[in-house]
Amino acid sequence: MMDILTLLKANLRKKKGTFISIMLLTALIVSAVSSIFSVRMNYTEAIENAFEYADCGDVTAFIHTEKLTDELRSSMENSEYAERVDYTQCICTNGSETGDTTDGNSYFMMELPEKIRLFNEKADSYEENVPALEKGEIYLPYGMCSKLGCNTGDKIKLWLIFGESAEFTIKGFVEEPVQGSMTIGWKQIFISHEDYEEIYNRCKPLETEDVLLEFTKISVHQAESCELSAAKFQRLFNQETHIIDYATGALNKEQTIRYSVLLPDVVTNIVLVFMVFLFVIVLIVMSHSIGTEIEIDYVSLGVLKSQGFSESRLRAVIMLQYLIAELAGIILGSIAALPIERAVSELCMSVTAVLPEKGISAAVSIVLSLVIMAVSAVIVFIKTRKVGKISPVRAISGGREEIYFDSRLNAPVSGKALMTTLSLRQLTSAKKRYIGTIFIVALLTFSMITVNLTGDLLASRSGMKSMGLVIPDIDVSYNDPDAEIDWDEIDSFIAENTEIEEVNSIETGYVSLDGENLACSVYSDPEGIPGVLRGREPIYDNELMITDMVAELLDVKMGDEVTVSKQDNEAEYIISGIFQSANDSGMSFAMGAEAYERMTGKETEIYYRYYIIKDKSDITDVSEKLNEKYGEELDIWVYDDSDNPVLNEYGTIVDALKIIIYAFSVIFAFVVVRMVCAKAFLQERKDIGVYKALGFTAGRLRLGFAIRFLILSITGSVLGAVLSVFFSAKMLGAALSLIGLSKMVLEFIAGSVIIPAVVISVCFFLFAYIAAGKIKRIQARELITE
Amino acid sequence: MKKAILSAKGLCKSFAHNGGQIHILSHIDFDLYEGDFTVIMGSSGSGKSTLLYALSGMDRATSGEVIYNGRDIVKIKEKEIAKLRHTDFGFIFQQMHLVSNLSLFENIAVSGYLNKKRSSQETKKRTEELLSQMSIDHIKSHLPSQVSGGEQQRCAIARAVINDPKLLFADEPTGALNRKNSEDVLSLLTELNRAGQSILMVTHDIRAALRATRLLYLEDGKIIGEMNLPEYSPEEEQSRETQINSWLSSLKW
Repeated sequence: MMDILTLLKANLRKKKGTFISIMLLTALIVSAVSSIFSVRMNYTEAIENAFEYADCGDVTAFIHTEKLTDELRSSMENSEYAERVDYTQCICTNGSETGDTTDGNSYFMMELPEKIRLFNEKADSYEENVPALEKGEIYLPYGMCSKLGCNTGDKIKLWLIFGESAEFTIKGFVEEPVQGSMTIGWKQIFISHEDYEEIYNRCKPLETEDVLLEFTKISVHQAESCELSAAKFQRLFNQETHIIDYATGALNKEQTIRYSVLLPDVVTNIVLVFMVFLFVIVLIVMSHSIGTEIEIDYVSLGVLKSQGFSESRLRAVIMLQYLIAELAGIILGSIAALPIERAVSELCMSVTAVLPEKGISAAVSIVLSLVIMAVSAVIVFIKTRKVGKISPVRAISGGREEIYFDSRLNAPVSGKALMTTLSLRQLTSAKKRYIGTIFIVALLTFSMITVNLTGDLLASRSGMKSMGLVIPDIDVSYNDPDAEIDWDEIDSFIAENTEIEEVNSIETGYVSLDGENLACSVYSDPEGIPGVLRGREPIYDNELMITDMVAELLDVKMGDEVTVSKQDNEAEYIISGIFQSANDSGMSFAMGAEAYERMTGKETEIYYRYYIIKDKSDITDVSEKLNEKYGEELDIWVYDDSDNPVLNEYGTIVDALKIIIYAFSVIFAFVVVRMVCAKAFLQERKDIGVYKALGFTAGRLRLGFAIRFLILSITGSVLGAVLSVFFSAKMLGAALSLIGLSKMVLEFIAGSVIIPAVVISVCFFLFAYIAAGKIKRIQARELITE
Repeated sequence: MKKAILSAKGLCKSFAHNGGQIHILSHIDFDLYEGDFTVIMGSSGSGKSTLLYALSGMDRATSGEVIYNGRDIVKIKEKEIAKLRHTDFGFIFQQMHLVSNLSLFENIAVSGYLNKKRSSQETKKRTEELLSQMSIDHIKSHLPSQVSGGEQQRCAIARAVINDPKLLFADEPTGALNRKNSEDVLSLLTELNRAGQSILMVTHDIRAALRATRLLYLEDGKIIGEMNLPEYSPEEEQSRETQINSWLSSLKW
């Protein structure tokens, strides 16, 4: 044992650079992965805790109060699945205005419940007491703080029915676990009893069959004996009571958790894939390092063998050397993960809107450490097989030369571009040594290109459309329900002023599909439904289209028959195709207006229509003319790409991803170049000395070294770009499948591909030039003779 | 009157060791003359190679001056030393030190390419001439590991002279060769000297020293003896060897 320890100590002392590099790379990965997994776990736990504290039901549904009959109440209360059903009266709003920010989502306004937690000013803890609300004051869920960009003390104007509104001062932000997350559109907001009464009395008389005001929030608590998943409980409960069919919207606990951690999940999924790449890079660096170390220590290893060291003992020394470096990296990474987890957790809180515990999950760290160590051990084991091939006699008699340069396929050396051709020769004559570096560059460039393409995809209308999201140029909806709107007339009016590329109307609501309450988009022109993956649009009135997620949930496929029901109406439909849509994070389906009418038995009222204009320069002019003519009956919204909330939201996420991926890539490039350069420098020390003796300047030799890495990085970048052509869309599809998007149509814009290639090539060139600084400091004689 | 091509003045070289200093060269003063085949002899550890490296600018002296063309090369910048190496100085190593992934042709040509006075085509032509002169033109595409030590050393000589250096430094060029190859290499150096090439060679081999026109003896970092000889001729080898042996004996060799 002492023999191994003695050699190990000597190796660690001599190879400090390798030790530090492996340790740093491992630490970077461990810190990122540990913190990401811990954030995920802490948030899931936090939502469950918040549910428990606020005594939220396993299913929350909102139903128009008049539809909540005694019969329905009784069937719910007598259900064998439910332990308890709670009812809360609320008023539905139709949008909000805070400063310059508007939001078209509905909020359910209600009186402050007894069990609710109020965040302190920094939102890093709860206030001990939740002060009662005075008239004109409102508590909002924390998710609205980031979504609307508002703060305590700000004013918020809420739109009620038929132009009625109410203004409040934000008194604070509360933890509302069911719909508080930024990613959930509908919200529960809290006002004083006095305000509730005033608004109710003012608006109730205006309520019509189509424009609803008064709702009841139903919280259903599952019976302890059931032990069903929230989704299954919701399905069975609905089959028994039909409450979801009558509800305007419903959400179960699983959906809440899914939606709340959706954005962090998407980001972390992409980061995790990137971390897997980085781990592959660490493995490549490790194998390269082991290979070159065995070459450099060929004689020493031969001598040790001649002294009786067995192959397995020598391999054990090398394995321990690397595993100790990784272990140190794991420890360092776990420590570094603590502040990272805290920072990521704070960032995510603006999205999830619940307060998690901080800290790294021990289980995550242990599992991660074991995986890293196990995979590394296998790689080291494979790479150290070379030790077995070392013959003591040959090593001692100087037989190592032939293992240095492995190729006869060499690039010619020319006087005209001497340094470049010499660099090329150095590369071609030691291909095996550099092939790993090319793969490393390829993986880094691939990741950088992919994140750029993601940005391009999410910033472009065509990209969004391929994912089932239409970004209109002009939105038109009517603000006066009594107005007689002839949509054909408006279409013609717009067409007279500009060429319309696309026009459609979408009405979205919650409808039961085979017993599951799902978001349904009803299109006036079903041929315009975007994001078709397989099959075709539901052009006939007995067809509909579902997402892959819904197909999986209901265990149905294209051609199958499904039942759509809403309150007392029900109809059978054939699934005509599969499409992708981020609507309700993929849990949605779509059909034409005629098909929907077949189920409801009445004509679908179109309140909203969107237009995509061919010549974008006409948008302002057309909207002004529309305003002039129809301004009293219509709300006209104009979107431009720089001020589009959807594009901006995704843009922020992509920017964060870009920073992470670019920063990690540059750090990795630095460490990798340092390591590879150090090894190459050791192996070529004599040659460098000879070149110096021949009259090459240190600057020229450094340049040659750097050019070599430039050639490698350009080659790797090209490979990375090729990989991205084949795999970027697939990788992105896998990461975004969480939000219902699986097929990406990426547009390869030159800048998105060239910028990563340039960044990585410049980094490799510069870092190699810096790493080769030793050439300048060492005398020619030392290089040759030592 | 011979013209001095390079002069050492008060040259010292010492290394730090265990907190103290080891003095390898101690205040050396001497001139190297144009057209001479100067050989420095001395026992192991006397500082022969260190002196050669200090004079050629391969290593920096701790103190003192090495005057070449009126300039002290100890003090000149790295870039200027590099220029000297590919314009005015040539160097032959004991272990040849050919670049392992370049063919023999390329090992010679690569030095030539540094010389901007010649075009690439002219360098290639000159390389071919030298390959032929060194009798290694048939193996010019071979890598160093594929040829014998003697062939490698001939290639190293060709590389050292491709830029027509004013001074050729040779560090025990026959030290790693067998007798036959040693003789071949020494004959090549003699031929070059006869053609006017100034040479400074370090050796502890008397057979190599026979080729010298001037002998210097180094001991404990100081030059303690000097002897001038006529041009080498094979017919006088025996008497020359006796003369040198007797000189060395007087220096307690």
